[in-house]
This record gives sequence, structure tokens and C-alpha cells, in this order.
Amino acid sequence: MIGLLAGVTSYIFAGILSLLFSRYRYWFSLLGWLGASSGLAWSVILFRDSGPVISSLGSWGKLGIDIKIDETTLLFASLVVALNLFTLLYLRGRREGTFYALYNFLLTSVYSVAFAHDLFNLYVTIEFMSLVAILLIGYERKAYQIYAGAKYLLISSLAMSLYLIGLGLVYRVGGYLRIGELARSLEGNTGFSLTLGLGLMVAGLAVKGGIFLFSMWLPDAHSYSETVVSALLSGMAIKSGLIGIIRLSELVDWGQLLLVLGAVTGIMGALFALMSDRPKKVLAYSTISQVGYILLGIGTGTSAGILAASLHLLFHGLFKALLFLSVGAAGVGGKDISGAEDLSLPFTSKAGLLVGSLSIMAIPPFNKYFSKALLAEQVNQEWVWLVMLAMGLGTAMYTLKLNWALIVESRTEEFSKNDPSVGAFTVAVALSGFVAWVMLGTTNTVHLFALNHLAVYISIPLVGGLVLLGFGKRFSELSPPSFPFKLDNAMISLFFGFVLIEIILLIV
Amino acid sequence: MEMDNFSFSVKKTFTVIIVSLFGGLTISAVFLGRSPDTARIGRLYLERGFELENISNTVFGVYGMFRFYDTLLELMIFSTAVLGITIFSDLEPSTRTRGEQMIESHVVTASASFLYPIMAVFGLYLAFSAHLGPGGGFAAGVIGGSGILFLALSKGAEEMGRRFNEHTMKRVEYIALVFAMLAMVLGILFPKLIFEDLQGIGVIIVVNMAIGLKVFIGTWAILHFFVKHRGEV
Amino acid sequence: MSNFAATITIIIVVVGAIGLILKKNLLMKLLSLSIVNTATILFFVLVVYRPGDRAPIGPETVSQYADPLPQALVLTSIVINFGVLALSLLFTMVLVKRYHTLDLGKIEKFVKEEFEEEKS
Repeated sequence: MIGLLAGVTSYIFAGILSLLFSRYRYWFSLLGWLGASSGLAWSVILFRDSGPVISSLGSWGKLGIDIKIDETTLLFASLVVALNLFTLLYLRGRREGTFYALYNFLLTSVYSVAFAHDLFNLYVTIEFMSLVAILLIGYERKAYQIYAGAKYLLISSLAMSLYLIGLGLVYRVGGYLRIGELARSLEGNTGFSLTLGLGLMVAGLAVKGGIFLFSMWLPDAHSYSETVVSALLSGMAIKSGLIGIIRLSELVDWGQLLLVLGAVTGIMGALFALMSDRPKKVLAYSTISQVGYILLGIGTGTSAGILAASLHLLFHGLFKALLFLSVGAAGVGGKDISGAEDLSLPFTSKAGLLVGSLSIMAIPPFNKYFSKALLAEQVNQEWVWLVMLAMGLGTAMYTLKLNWALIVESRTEEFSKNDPSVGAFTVAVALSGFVAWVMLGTTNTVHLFALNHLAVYISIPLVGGLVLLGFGKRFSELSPPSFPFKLDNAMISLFFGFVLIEIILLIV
Repeated sequence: MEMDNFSFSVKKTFTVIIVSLFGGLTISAVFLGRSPDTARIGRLYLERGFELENISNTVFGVYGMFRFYDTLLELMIFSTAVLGITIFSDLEPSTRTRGEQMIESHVVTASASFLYPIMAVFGLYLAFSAHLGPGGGFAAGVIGGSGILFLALSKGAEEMGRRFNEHTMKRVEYIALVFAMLAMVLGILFPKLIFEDLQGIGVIIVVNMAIGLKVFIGTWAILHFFVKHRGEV
Repeated sequence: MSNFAATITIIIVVVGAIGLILKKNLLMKLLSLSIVNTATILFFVLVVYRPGDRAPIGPETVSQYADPLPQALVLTSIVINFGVLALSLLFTMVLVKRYHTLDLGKIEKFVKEEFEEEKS
């Protein structure tokens, strides 16, 4: 409880104070970070002493709002705190007071999503997140940013209406809003009304969470907005929808649903990323693709699978933010990479791109290897295995394509253009793999470093590189279709996705 | 052009089918679900709410005490919307306008000056008596804000905009927000002290006034922004 | 009885959603979104409502009170919808000031052209 309050109040105060006294905005934000990280430290100590805790805000007991501290909470909250630190270093006092206010409000919302264990509290925090996010997307007032923001706003408002309808149905059957109590009250209940209500809620959260068919607003919003905002949105804002899905999975056994959604999301995202030719667009589609892994992790239904999903959530946030920041620090985010000979990047950006790419391809000592290997352990269906291989191959291909253009073909900028904050972030991401190593313990990691594992994970990028050498030209001629991402079609695909969810839940 | 029409009719048919499928599924879920009886947590709220001596409006008990954290986040959402409007408040007025600048109406002009005090008093009453009956800070603020809009329609938006110093308004707004925040933190950390030992009512009224003040200023900021830019194309 | 009322609200949601998707005018889209949101709020209250429920105000000796929770939650989501409406109107206004049209198809075309121009 103290952990949540410390974070939320210090972020809100940092936001308000940087509006009122905008001269000291940077210092207020640093203080906000200090408060949130001490709140996180408090929660970590609490978790270490007594395991997962569910407590009620205030002493209202059953009547209050529940918060939960478990691995998912801690991993997500540490992602928030880490991204907060590195984006603050990257900003270095640039931008005005209102930007810092919005920035701190965004952090408030995602920090409180991490702890939420109450269905309506989830709704409020996620709605808060998306309202702040659209203001940040449109902050520079370019027309395309405003359009991307308006698209996000309309679709997400519609989605949250679906969530509320679903919540009404679930509340009528279950009679509680606190997830712990609701799970007990719904035990063994598989009525149609409940299934439909939960399906509506998942559809609503999927729009926020970057799932294919639902989040068609994502590529525009994440590639049109400015770099820090893209990094924050891709790194942590969309994760709040996924946290919601993780919490909902305490209520119900999804069966094949999340596996199917994860497979579709992962493969389509990788395919579109391979076809696009601007670094930020590639990274935005890659976000969709990486969400697929998280869904697969939740879909396995085991607690280790959910741990793998949460780990992947943290690691994806770190390396995706690093990739965005290194592309953005060099100012090449919107450039066409087919003419990469004319571009020049500073050394820190190249190093950041390299480390981020090694992570995203799951090369062994880097962070994503641990989450992906842990996930692969939990998968016991053959088709999911094949899907994961295909996703790995796609990831390797678009990453290698991006790296070839931006690291090898482009020129290196002179020394003074180097960005120390990107350098520091690079080192942190490179070391985060070892944190996972320590966390998972020796027995697990010895197992993960077995020879057959290593062989698979190293050979995927090799095969990807070979395919790219053979068919690279073919892919660069294609470009991702634009019609599914238009406002109207995105909304149609939301309803289509919902009907699909219901078919999978009811029939399969 | 023909191709466009064709694809639009396909889109139309597909949309109607898909959205109606959604509607049909949801309606059947409504009928197939259990017929409603007061849900278990709802009954608890009623029992506990009626035990509290000074709070006869149970709905207020829910959003003002038991779930005040949600209400605070809701206040933050409202502040974010207002902040968004103030960020864009330096938008240049467009040169192209359409229609009348201001619709002159004798009814509005004549009635505004004596209706506004009534609206203001009603807003205050709602903020004071939320624990006894329908009302609350949000409703009070919105009523006060739209009352000012009423006044602005009769006196001219620019005149009203000058009368309210933007800078001071902003300070007052955020100080009210800070106040509500502090109340939440104290209410969560020491609920016994705040809501029972102090009899609660004083604290609740002050918090409601703070929320009301904040929402009042926010509503006025939003409405003033849109009134200022009316008629632009 | 309340089931029929809830059915009507769902029909309104469907009508609003179809309008939201098929109308080309941005302002009409916002109006449809508003209809969807309002109908959702109505649905949330009606779906747990029983005929004959009294407003949960004042401890009187009446056996049947309405569930206070949905009503409290709905207050929150009304405010959220107000915020969404204000911001979407703001964004629409900025787009209209830029392009002098409300037609979404035209706006999408202009936006794409402008982006390509700026980034090339």
C-alpha cells in the first residue's frame, strides 16, 4: 500500500509542481522518480518477506479497492521506474513545464496499473493512461500527430465502452469487482453471459495492448509521435492493457484463445515490420509482433508462463525504448532506409541499435533470451512451437535488415554528436540479461544454457540472414497495406476481432 | 468512382453484419444471464453505508469514502483534459469564419443576470450536501461552470475571459487538486481518524468544495476555449 | 423488465457504433461516439436494476434498495467521457483549422501527403 501511494503521490506532485513552477520542472521530475523508486523498493522488500500480497486501500476491508503485489507488479513497476530514469536523462531539461506534467501523469497512470487488482480500478487507470497518451502523441501539433492521436482516442473510447458493457455483465453474475473475491465467486461458472462479458473485456483491453486486429491505431501513433513519447508508449503504455489481460486470466481459463491471438499478432506484426522501410515504422510494427510472445506466455496458463510473460514485458520495454531512443537521438526515425548511404549516425546510437537488436533476436547472454527460453519451456503444443520459430525468424529478418542499413551502410557521425544518456541506457540493457540470470537462479539457467537451446537460438538469426540475402530485394519492393489502419476499418476490425474471440471461446 | 461506391457498399454491409452480430450476442447474454438480485458486494455496501451515521447517501459513501482512490484518478483524468485544452489555448483564431459571431437573444440577456446567482447557490448547495442526497463536487463544479457560460453568452465571452485572470485561476485549480490528493492520502493511511473520529463531515465537505472548485474552473476553461473559437471553419 | 430496457440500450450502442464507422463527417463520428458512451452508461445501471428498487438514500425500513455500486461507478465514467469528448473535439478543431474540412477521407489523404513530404 505504501509502495503504491509513494509512487502515485510523488508522480502527481511532480506533475503539478512542474506546471506551477516550471523553472524547476526537471528537478521535480527527478524527485518524482526518487519517490517512485523508493515505493518500488518498499514493495520489493515486502514481497521478499511475505510473498504475493493482496491488500485493501484504506482499512475498508472488503469494501475498498484491492491492490496486489506479485512478480508481475514488481517487474512492470521496475520497468516504469527504469524507463523514467533513462528518458529523463535523455530529455536533460529540454521541453517545457506542460510536457513534464503530462510525462509525470503518464507515469502515474502506468505505475498505478501495475498494482491494480480491481476491475473498475483497471478501467480508470487505463483510461487515464490513454488520455495522457493522446495528448503526448499530439504534443508537437503536427497535423499527422493530431490525426494519429484522434484515431487512438476514438478507437480506445469505443473499446472502453465495450469493456464497461462486459464489466456490467460480469458484475451481474459475479457480484464483486475485486478480482480475488470475484475469482472465488465465479469458480466453476461457465455460463454464456460470463463468457461474453469476459470476451468484451478482453476485446477492450486488447485495443490498448497492441494486439493485431484490435490495435490498428498503433503503427501510426507510435511512429508519428516524437521519440521520447514513442519510447514511452511502446515501452510501457501499451503494456497496461496486457497487465489487464494477465489480471483477467486469474478469473477464467482462456483455453486456446490467447495462443491463437498471440500467434496471429506475432506473425502479422513481424510480416508488416519486414515490409516497412522507415526505422520508426519498423519498430512500431515490431512492438505488435513482440506482444505476441507476451500473449503466448499468458496463454500457457501456468504460473511459470505468466512469469515468462512478465519478464518479456519488462525486457521488451527496455530494448524497444533503447531502439527508439537510439534511432531518435540520431534523427533518422522517419527516414527511408533504402537510401541509408546518405544517413549518418553517432557511435552511441549504433551501439544502442546493436545491443537492442541482439536483445530482440534473443541471442544468449542478452535479456530476451531468458524470457523466451523460459516461455519455450512452458509451451507444450507443437503448433505453438512452430509459430515461435516463425516469429523468431521474422524478428531476426527485420532486425538484420534495419541493422544492415543503419549500422553498416550509413556513415558514423563525429564524436561530439554522441549522446551519453543513450550510451548509459545501452550499458544498462546489456547488463539486464545478467539480472535475469541472477533472478532465475542457477538451476534454471544451467538448464537454459544447455547446448541444444543455444544451437536453436543462434541458428535462427543465421537462417534469417540467409533468407534475407536471398529474398531481401523481394521484401523491400513490398510495403504494408494502409487500408486496415484507417480509422473506419480499424473500428470494423475491432468488432470483427470481438466476434472472433467469442467464436474461439464458445466453440473451440 | 464506381469502384469506390462498390467498396463502400461492401463496407456498409460488412459493418452492419458484424456490429449486429455483436449486438445480438450481447443481448442474448443479457437474457441468458442470471436475473439480477442485489449483488453481494452491493448488499455489503448498503449495510455498511447505513451504519455510518452522518452519511445517508450510500452512493456518496461508495465513491467518496470506500473507493476514493478511483475518484481521485477520475479527478486526474478531468485535470488532464483541462490541461490539454490549456496547452492548445494559444491556437490562433482562424481568419475564416462562418455565420453569426454571436446570436443575440433577449431572453438570454435578460434572464442571465438573475438566473446566474441561483445556479451558483445551487452548485454550492450540491457541494455541501453530497453526503445527504444526490450531488457532489463534480456536479457542483459543472453547474457553476455552465452558469458562468450562461453569463458569458449574455455579456460576451471576451469580457468574461478578461474578468477571470487565467494565471490565478490556474494556481487555484492546482492547489485545489493538491488538497484533494492530500485528503486521499490521509484518508487511506488513517481512515479511522478522518472518517470516524472527526465525524467525517467536516473533512468531506472541504474535500467536496475542493473538487467542486477544481471542476468549476476546469469546466469554465473548456467552455471558454470552445466559445472563443466558435464559428471557425 | 429491466432486461428489455438493457436490450434497448444495446440497440442504441449498435446504432451508435454503425454511425461511428460509416459516417464520413468527423463531427458526426464524435456525436455517434457520444451516443455509444451514454448508452453504455445506461446499460451499466440497467443491467443490475430490479423493478421497484429505491434510491439508496437514507436508512428507512424499506426492504428493497438499488445496488449503490454501479451508480457510483457510472459517475466516474461520465466524467471520463466528458474528458474524452472535450479532447476529441479539440483535436477535431485543430484538424479542421488546418485543412478546412470535416471529411475524414480527405483529411487522411492530406495527412499522408504531408507526412511523406516532411520526411523525404
